[in-house]
Amino acid sequence: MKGTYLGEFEELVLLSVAVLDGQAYGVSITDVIEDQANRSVTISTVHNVLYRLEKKGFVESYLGGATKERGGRNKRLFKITAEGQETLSYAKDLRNRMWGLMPVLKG
Amino acid sequence: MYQKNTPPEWIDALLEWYCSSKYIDEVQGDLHEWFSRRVEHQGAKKARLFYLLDVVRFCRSYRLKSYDEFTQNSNNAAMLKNYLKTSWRALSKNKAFTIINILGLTIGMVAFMMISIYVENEYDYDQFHTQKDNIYRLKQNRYNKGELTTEWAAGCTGIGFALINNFPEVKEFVRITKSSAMIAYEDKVFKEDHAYYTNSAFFKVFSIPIIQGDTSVLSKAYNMMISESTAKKYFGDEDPVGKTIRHNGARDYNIAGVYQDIPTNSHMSADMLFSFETFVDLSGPNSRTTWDWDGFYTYLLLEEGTDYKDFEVKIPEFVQKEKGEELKQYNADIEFLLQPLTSIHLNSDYMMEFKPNGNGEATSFLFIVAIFIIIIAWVNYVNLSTAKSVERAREVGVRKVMGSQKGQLIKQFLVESSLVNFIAINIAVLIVFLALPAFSHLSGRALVLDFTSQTFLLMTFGLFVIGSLLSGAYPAFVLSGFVPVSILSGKLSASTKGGLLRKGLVTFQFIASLVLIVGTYVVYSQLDYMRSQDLGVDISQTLVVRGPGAVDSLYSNQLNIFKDQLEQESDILSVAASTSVPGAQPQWNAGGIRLLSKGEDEANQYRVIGMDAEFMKSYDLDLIDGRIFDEKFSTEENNVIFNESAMKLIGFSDTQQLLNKDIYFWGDTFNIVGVVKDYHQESLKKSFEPLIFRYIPNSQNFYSVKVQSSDLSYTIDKIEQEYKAAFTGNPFDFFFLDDHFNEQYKAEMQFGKVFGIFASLAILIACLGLFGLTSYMTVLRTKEIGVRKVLGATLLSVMTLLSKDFAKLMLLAILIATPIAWYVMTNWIAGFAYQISLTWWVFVIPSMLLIVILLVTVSIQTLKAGLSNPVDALKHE
Repeated sequence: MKGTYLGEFEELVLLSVAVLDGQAYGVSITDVIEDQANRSVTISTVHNVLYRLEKKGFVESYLGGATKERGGRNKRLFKITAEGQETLSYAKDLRNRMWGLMPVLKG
Repeated sequence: MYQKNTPPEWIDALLEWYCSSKYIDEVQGDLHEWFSRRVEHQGAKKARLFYLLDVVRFCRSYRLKSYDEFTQNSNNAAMLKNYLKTSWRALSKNKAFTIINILGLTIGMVAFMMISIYVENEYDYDQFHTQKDNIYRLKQNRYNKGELTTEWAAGCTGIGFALINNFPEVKEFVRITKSSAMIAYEDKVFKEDHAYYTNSAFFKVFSIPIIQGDTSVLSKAYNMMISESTAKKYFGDEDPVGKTIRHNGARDYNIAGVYQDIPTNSHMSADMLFSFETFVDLSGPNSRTTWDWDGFYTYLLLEEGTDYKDFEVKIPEFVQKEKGEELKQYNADIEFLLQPLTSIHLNSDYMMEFKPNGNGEATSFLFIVAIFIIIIAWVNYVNLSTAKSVERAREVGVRKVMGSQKGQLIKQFLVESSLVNFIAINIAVLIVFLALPAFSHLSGRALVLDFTSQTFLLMTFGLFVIGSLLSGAYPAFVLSGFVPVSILSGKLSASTKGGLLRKGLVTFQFIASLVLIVGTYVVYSQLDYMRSQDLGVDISQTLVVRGPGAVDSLYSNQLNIFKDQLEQESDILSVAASTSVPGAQPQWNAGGIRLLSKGEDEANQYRVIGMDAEFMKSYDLDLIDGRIFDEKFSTEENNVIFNESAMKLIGFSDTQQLLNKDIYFWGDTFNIVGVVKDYHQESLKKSFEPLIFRYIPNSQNFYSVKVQSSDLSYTIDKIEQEYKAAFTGNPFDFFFLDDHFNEQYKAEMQFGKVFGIFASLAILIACLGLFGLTSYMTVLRTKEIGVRKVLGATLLSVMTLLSKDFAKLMLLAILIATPIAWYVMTNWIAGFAYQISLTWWVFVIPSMLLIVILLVTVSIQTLKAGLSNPVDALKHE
């Protein structure tokens, strides 16, 4: 899997996109991260990461879902791609494998 | 209407302005949603603030509109492009005019920036101390018989100690006193001019970082701290801590630590700090507490939140309680005032300052000059632009007919002035950068141009924006206000628009220039006057050698050998030893001196110079009565000589009454044997002081060597050899007395030079403006001149015609400027004891000079017009 390295925050965002299953956009992703990881993130950072992920082909996006709260502006909704899914599970596998290699500490 | 839960519109507008349409939906939508969330959690106020932050954060390059997108949607960008293009065309069409314009602005900006940098540096003194707002220096005033006699920067030794023990407001006190130190380490020997004794609180109060060692050592005798560069001077790369140096050839001091050099922008300078305990050990325990010994700087660190004025008013009562009785006995008084640390550099010029301080008034004055110069430069731009307005009028007319609105025209001319200002500021920054080292040298300050500093950005940006608006606004409004029909039908003439304003501005320029020239002229005249007066003492051909710091019981012998050896030289006329030489206030300041027959309450304070028999002869002092010192009298050391001022102070007007009287001087009795005429011991800034001369043949401070030599370097070599032979182990250090004496005028000379430079710049700018203005006026009247010449006008009458208007303004300017200059310079000159009188020619000569300069400027143009062939002028139509 050359060239598909995932940064820690990128992974977090990608996971959120997968969790939200079609309802992922800037605000909702920020919400998920704040709830789950309990850390404060700025919305502009999330946007920047989303574009980066899209460039790498891990997510795809389409416009839709304007609400009154948004001043009639469309959302850009993100969906995880097969490649993104694969990258995530690779990262998970890698972790599991390495955890398995860790000697169990005694005492 | 309740609007608080929507984001501020202007921030949205900012977002919409920069953000590409590709991203605007998602970004703005998300931000709005986030905003309403924030309103719920943090309140509307914070949410609005964060909204701005977010909008700024979102500004990434990929989200920006492309150039096409910008220009497509907004007419403004396209128009801006067009304005720039037309401005450029207008500027390049008349190159000479544009160059004059830009040059004038550039010079003005350079002057303004240089002065601002200088002024900022002056105000920056001592700002680096973190506790600067709570540090104060005690200034001490001594009164004698109700009269203020001395104002000390360094007061008595005991006061700090007394205050900290009696007032809870005083947190720490620092006591500093000078040590005349000759320091030796192995074979290295230097005379240290900035060595002091101080207590350990020094480093608690002042923010001078310690590099090595521990400050507590300053509470033990014979320990010392040394500055980084001084350590390098003595020890090179060796570790100085733990080493011993020899002080004045007598005692060993242990180096316990190294501190960072005190920055140059401090009123203080200290290369070595010896523990105050050393001083106490050398001079007795009394030196810790007495109020009778002056020469000690006292700094107080007050508790946070203390109002120093409130504290200051409590001191007199305390002084009365402690020393009231004693002071009354001598009919004397003592007063302590607090000087805030950061105000010392610009506002303190008292006895025994660390180094000559700056002058607050002169600094403010210089800043006013800077503002004047930049205004003159802007005035030029306004003048030239309005004068040219006729030429631009047709363009404006056509634009208006084509549907251009007033606002757009104003914008166009503002763009033009911005362009000119932008070019000017860039050149100006470059010139300042290149010229600053020279200016630093001239002003005696270490000035640097810090491109990243806030001041620099503020200054350049401010000059650019204010300049563009101020100089662009008037032409913009005048030109845009033209009625198209009257322009296009050719009814507009040059003189109708902005005539009065232009005249007013030109007059203002003349006034400012004239005041500056008179100022410069007066400064130089005063300096010249002071330096050319007869001092009453002959300081020419005199070389002064500083006496040895380290001496022993053989000193008298050594001195005699040194004198004898030198006097054998044919090119050395005399050698005189003394405690002071002309050119500075004598350091020996003695109070309590009175006639033996009078009571203690009639005692006075005098300055004392100790000298050998040679001194008065060598310096050619005028004896009025009695005799000068002579070594053949065995009791000569019990005799004194007075100067006239001292005679008056002690209460006589006739020398015969004074002679042979006995005086009481510090427990001994002296007989007055002579009176000499007052001479200028110090610069002519000060009046004569009462001096008493004592016969001290082995005075140790200075040896004045009168030379008459064709080969000075040989003579100096000779003196050095003899000095080193006589006083082994002491460094040879000498100066020329006339240079030393003129050092006293250094501040005035610097002021004069700086003033002169900026006055010249102001005049140069005014001339440039005038040159441009006349050239333009002449062009406008080409046809008129042609007709006049055809009808028989002479060259002279044409030139008179063209210069007449300016001549009138010039006369008006002279009338207004003279009283202003008179007022300002009378105030300046009042600071000198001996002053030139401001007679009529002080004003007439600069006025004539200005008239000549301006007439020459005008004539270059008018001459050209007058000489031109009328046929050329008339054939154009």
